[in-house]
Amino acid sequence: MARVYLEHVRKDFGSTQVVKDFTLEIKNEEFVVLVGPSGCGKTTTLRLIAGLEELTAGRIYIGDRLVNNVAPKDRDIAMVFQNYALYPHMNVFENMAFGLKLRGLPQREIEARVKSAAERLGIAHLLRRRPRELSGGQRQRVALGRAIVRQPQVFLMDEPLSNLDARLRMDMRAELARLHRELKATIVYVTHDQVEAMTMGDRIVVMKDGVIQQVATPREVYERPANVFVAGFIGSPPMNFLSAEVQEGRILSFAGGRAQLVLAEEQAALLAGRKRVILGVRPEDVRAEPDFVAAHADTTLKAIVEVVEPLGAETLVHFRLDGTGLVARLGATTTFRAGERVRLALVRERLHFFDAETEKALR
Amino acid sequence: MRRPFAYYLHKLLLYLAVLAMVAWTLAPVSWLFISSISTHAELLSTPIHWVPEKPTWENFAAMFDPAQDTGRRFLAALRNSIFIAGSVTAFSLVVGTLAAYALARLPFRGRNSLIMGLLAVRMLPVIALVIPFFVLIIRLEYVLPIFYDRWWTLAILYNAFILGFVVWIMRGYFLTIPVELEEAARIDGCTRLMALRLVVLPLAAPGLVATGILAFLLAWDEFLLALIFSKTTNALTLPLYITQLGSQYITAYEQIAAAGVVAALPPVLLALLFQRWIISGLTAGGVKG
Ligand SMILES: Nc1ncnc2c1ncn2[C@@H]1O[C@H](COP(=O)(O)OP(=O)(O)OP(=O)(O)O)[C@@H](O)[C@H]1O
Ligand SMILES: [Mg+2]
Repeated sequence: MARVYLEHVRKDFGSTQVVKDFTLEIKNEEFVVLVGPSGCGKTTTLRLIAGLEELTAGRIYIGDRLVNNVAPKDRDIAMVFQNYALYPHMNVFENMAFGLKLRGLPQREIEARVKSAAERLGIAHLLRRRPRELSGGQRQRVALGRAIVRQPQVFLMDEPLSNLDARLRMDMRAELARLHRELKATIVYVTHDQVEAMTMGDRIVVMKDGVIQQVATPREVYERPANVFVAGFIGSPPMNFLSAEVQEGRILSFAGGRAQLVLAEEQAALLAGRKRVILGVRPEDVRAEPDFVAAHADTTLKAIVEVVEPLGAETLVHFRLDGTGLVARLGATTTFRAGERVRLALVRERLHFFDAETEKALR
Repeated sequence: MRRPFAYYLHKLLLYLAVLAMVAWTLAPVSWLFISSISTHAELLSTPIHWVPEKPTWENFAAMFDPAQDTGRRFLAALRNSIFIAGSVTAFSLVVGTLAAYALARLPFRGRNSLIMGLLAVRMLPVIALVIPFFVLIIRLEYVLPIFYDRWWTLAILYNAFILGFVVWIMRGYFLTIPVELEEAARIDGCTRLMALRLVVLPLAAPGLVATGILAFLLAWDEFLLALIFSKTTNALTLPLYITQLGSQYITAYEQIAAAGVVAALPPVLLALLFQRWIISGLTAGGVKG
């Protein structure tokens, strides 16, 4: 197996820079997830690693080998394409066996590998079918199977579960995680799905406009986002951002000065010398239980309930706070009704602060 | 369920239209065949004989009889036409397909101008090229006398316009094949050429076959260049042979018809042989959407 190292990688299409100064080391056997909004260059980055696009600048290493000028077939990688890319004129078995045949494996070995992968993915009964006779989810699993049988050094997966229904996606998530453990493969995985990113990745790479915003474990990306973009992108519903003013005596005021909270010592020290900051609050860090509110007078706010969205296991409540909004994730038993005036408290030690200009996290 | 009157009327009109089209297409062919099995006298008799009273194969027999002048000329023309159309088809398909692939897929400088140039040349009528071609061939003939009145010269000249046609059609066909299929193949272990052979060409088979048949037909039916560049049976082709039938004094309609029937056969056989390849939807299911 192998590490993948991208060094100051850049890719331009004509005059637009799609990937900019991208440096990332993916460790051997690591599961790295690339996330970011549509068009931020995730697919392009995968294609650069695969050798399907030429670098504009920079270097890419797979293992210890510089692969800038190595053909895709010699990079020992497998890729699951965003749109499957199954060979329409071959049946499922032939699709999966294609790469193995080209590499001259004995027929027995090919059959064994295809069969075991097909069973894993629940497509063993489809081996004789052509791609056009399969559903979207089945095609996606064939595409995965074609990559798995190859047993390459590095897997590149471009949203491989995007077309599955929720149930199948959950199963396949577990299956992929198991596969990663068993195959001890290095995986670079692109997804839009928050849950996939948080649960599957050893590390998450958050991208925006072709630039890496943060590389860290899922936990760290969630707990200590590097900037406003990452904080808003990871987490659902996203973090609340409030424009706040730092005042004397550990006071932070926002919502036009009508809401205030008292900071802890370290927080006040962190913000010392600043006038304006962006305050970040995760929806789950807004609390409404009377006991909690009573015990946290320092961070208590008055708010008006605007919308209540019961989701079953929890309830999302949108509050109005003098000119700004605030979304809270509350228990399923919440009895708030629209229009009600209520008291909330923030979990002080879990507040995030960002520079008002650069939007970078202050810590 | 009762269908409205309009439904039946619509059907009836549709079938009538189809019938008219079939008649329109088949009538000349039928008349060609009838003429070919008639004698000269009967063909020109009045009132017209729609079905010959004394059908005869002698028009055909004469064509295949090397003892007669007609037979010698016909066999030479048949051979030349097959050689010309066959080699033009083979060459233009192989070279044209590779060129089309490059123009469809490979990024290189001047690609777009090349594509536009190709289109521009296609717009040029062949007659505009006759004189330049003629000057060229005659000059070459001075240097090396193997060009004028040779079937291969016709084959080379035909390629000048058929190759561009093949490139243009095949490029369009390649553009409909999702590029990811090739990329998947290249990751799976193919070079570009292998991906072309193992993935792209099988998917392009209907296009290849249709283009091949068209290329064959274009070469098979060509008249103008053949007229200019052939003098003897060295470079006589079927269309030319047909126009030269009969003599100064009579037009041998029955022989013309017989030659027409024989000349029509190879392309028809070719089309029948390959038509099972001309199916659509070969790429279905390969990629999302
Ligand atoms: N061949 C190309 N030529 C020109 N521009 C391209 C090309 N391929 C991609 N781009 C541009 O590069 C940018 C990044 O594309 P990319 O496909 O990498 O995005 P992505 O992050 O994978 O998006 P998505 O989540 O929608 O799949 C986009 O703005 C896209 O328009
Ligand atoms: Mg993408």
